[in-house]
Amino acid sequence: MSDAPNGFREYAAARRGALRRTAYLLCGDWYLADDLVQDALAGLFVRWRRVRAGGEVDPYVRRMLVNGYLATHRRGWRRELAVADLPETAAPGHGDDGTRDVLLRALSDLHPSQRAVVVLRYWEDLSVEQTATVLGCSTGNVKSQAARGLAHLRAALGRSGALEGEPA
Amino acid sequence: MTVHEEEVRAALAVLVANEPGLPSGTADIERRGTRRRVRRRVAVGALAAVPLLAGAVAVAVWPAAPPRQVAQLPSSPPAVADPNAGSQLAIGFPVGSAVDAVSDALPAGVSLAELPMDVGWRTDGSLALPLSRGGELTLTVGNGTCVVSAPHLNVAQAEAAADAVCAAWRAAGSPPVVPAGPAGPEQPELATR
Repeated sequence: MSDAPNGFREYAAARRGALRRTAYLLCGDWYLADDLVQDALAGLFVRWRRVRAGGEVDPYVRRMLVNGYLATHRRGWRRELAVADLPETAAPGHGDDGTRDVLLRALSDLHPSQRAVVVLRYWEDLSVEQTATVLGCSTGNVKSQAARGLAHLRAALGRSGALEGEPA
Repeated sequence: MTVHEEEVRAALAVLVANEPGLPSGTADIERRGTRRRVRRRVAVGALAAVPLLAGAVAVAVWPAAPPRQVAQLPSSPPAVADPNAGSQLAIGFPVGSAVDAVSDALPAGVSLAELPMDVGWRTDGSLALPLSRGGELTLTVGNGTCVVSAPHLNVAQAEAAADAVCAAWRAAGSPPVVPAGPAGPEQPELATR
């Protein structure tokens, strides 16, 4: 598009894939992930010059992404439904020993904000302070939520035998 | 990062390993951003226009004309300055001044009787005053001269009385003699007021 601000197209093309994966880990749905990423990047498009001048494009987009994800959970209707049993379990494909299903179920058990803490801390490799800034909460809250989320995921993976040395 | 954290990170990487292809390029994002920017500008413009519009309406309505009178009051005639407004005094030579002048100039033994209620100047400029000994004294003022005639007065006494009346007449500013009673079209109008 001809009215794209200078540098936005290059940034979006370079970061879209990574943002999409983060969004998927947050919501567990590739279509919703695409929608969240588009929404975040569209918001960045509007404020591109000001955000880039501030030099914090990645934190801004990340915050938009997480806010969009949390907003879908605040609404009455959302695409993702947290259920005890997945309606369909795909047969393990090549190189998949069932860890995906176990992990998706374990992630869906987490509270949305706790899930966001886990994704930002252990997938985006953000520090406690950076995670607290994105979520707008205290560092102590991030630490406690991250510890509980980590324990929950490890327990789920351990029960499934996905972790080395853990009983199946 | 601890071992436990590495394990979770590796598991998360497994989740996104089968990532499907991107649906499209960045053109759709730019279109979405453009629409959002337009909506934002419209919203900002509307927010700015609302107080301006309200102010314009207020200015247009504020200096409105006062409510019209349902019935037009009958137009009153323009006020005319009346030199005699609020006064019952006659414009002409007062009867009282003429009576006082004549009474003071009468010789001894001749005096005026009690004046009737309708005493006043006649249309010929004469004034008839009753005498206590009977008869009446006639005083005429006109053309700058005064004439007194009475059955009990000789010529000299009559001229003395006439001179006294003329002196009083000049002292009053030589006013005209206005006959008593209805005279002219003004009197009925005065009565209506």
